[in-house]
Amino acid sequence: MADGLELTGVSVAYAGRRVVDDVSLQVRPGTIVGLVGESGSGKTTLARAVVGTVGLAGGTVHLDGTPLARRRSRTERRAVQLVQQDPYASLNPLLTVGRVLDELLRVHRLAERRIASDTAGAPDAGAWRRARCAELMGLVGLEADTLGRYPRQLSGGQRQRVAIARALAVEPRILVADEPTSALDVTVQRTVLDVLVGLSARVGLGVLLISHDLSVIHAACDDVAVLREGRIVEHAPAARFFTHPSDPYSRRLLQAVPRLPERAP
Amino acid sequence: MSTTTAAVRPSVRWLRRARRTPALVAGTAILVVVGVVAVLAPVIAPYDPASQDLGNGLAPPSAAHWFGTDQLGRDILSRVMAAGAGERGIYLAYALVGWITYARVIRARTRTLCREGWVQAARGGGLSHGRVLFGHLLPNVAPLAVVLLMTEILLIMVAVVTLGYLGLGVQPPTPDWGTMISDGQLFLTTRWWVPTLPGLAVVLTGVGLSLTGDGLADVWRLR
Amino acid sequence: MRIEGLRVAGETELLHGVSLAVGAGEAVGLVGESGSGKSLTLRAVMGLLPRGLRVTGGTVEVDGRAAMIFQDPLTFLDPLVRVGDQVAEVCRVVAGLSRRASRVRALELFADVRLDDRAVLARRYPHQLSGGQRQRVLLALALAQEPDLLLCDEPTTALDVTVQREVLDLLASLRAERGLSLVFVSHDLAVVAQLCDRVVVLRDGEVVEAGATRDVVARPHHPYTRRLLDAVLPLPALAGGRDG
Repeated sequence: MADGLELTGVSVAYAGRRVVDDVSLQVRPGTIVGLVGESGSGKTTLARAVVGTVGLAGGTVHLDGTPLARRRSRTERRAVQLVQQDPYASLNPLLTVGRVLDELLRVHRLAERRIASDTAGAPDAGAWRRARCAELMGLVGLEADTLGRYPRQLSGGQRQRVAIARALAVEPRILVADEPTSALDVTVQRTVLDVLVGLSARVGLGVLLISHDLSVIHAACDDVAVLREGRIVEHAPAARFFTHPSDPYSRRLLQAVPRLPERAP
Repeated sequence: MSTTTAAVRPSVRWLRRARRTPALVAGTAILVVVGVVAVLAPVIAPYDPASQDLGNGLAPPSAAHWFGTDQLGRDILSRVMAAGAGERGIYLAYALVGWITYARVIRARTRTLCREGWVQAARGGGLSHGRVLFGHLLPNVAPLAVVLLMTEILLIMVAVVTLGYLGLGVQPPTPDWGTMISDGQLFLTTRWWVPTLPGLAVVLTGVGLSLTGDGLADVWRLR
Repeated sequence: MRIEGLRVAGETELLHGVSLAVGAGEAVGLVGESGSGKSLTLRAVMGLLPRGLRVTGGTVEVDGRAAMIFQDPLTFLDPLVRVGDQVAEVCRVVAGLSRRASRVRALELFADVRLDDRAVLARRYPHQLSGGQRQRVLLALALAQEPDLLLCDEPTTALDVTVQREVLDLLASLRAERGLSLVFVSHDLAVVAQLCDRVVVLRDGEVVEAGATRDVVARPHHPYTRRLLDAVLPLPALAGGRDG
């Protein structure tokens, strides 16, 4: 059985129509798979199906060989995390970043689990959590003092990175990022994408990056899958896809992207 | 419990903001005054609200009777104070019936919030229904609930006063603003103090509730 | 159109003396990130500033008629009126046409903006159209005013990339056919580069750089411009060319 996330023949129906139709793809740990789709392609529904928010009409979702049911246990929910598009609605306005992360660590009793396996020093769950929160901030490239801030004090890019840190807090195997940079300014997009790429490499996270923006996919992904009206029309390594797409729809998408004229070196 | 140190505790910051909101300050002051007077009425009222003095009926406001007397010679100030406490039975009845509309609005707001990203993220992060409902949703809905409560109370008060005015509420001799207005309206042009002063008490309480609601909405940035 | 030293303020000043000129038949791109003031500049020209904001300095001169299209057509189309009728109404007001003549004219405009099945679409309501179709309707509405200048506030940002390409091509050909001047606001430098001869870079309410698109892209002077250019994620060249 394969490692990581595996979708086999996944279909999702809505009002009698197949919004996602027979989709198969794989996200191995340490890789980033890009899913390209225009509006109405079914990409958000697919993201929800992977995370378990919506039920399947057919097919299976496996994680490290075990099938994931629609009703997931707490452990299963931890394993596949979602980062959403809108950074301005993704954080509870009444909680500081630190409290959000701390609550997740406490609820899953992560301090207790980790300290039990750590022999050095006296176990202090609170101290472990504080250190872990600071570490999570570091992983997403934010200062430790961000922990004391409320969402309204943060920019869009910072909020997105907090959302990623929140997803990381529960130690997932797979991260589904649904248009994580679409609502962000151009200069900030690269920062967030770099965080995702870095995490994939350092923490061995498997990432499914969903976007309508081909340049975003190109900047971060190893593999590209193209979703059109619920079906995958092409699935290729990034290196080949962007220069030699095989499907005419993929080609049309790539041709339509506006490009800058040549710059001086 | 928190892993952070905010420079100032949030509750202190809230109090500061509250003090600087004129509507909230004024509204709360009015309600406090009204509330204290209503509660202490039996003790601080200058006269017994039921004691009549038929020879001194319809006397204008004076040093002896600050609000004057009604047609039976009863001190209006004492009656207004006593009526402030209200007939608990009627308010309770209204509350038992009226909570449904109130609940519907709160429910609608909660459902809207459920669709927000952070609620879904909380569930996705493995937090239980209970924790999300009480720890996350409730604090976000509470401000709206409190502000709406002010309006609800105001509406109930107006309804009770109206009932009294129509003679359908509190029965004599228990003093009630509504009945006082109704009994005194004959004298509106000749002995203005008889219906007007109870009327002003109603208006004042209503304004207090309204301002408090607005002030809270301002402080909690609901508007 | 010529803008000199335009200042717009609400509680604080948001535009600090923006200057910009568009000649007849020219296409000028206005580029900036959120908060740069690019949309505000267009709205000031049209007199459509949001409540609480007003022009506090500078001048705006428009030689001829100006029309504007927006990022979200849904909020600018009446949800209760069929789209054909909305365009016809503008024709009636602008050109004084009769009811029947304005309906005919509306269909002609729908053809100009390359809407297929014009007659069928004209009888639809805005929410029954796709994003691309709505944007074309908005364009038809603008063209119905017979403008000399078209102001575009991120009209393609919310559209799929293939639809965006079509709308940009449409704008380019309309410009060629009618000699329209264009001011195109976007956060996307690549989009602006595709359509506009000149580009103006805005940051925090000020112009930091302006010039011919090719020059600004190849040899940016201001460090902010360079940062914007660096932030554009590159795509490798497509084998077989862009129009194969």
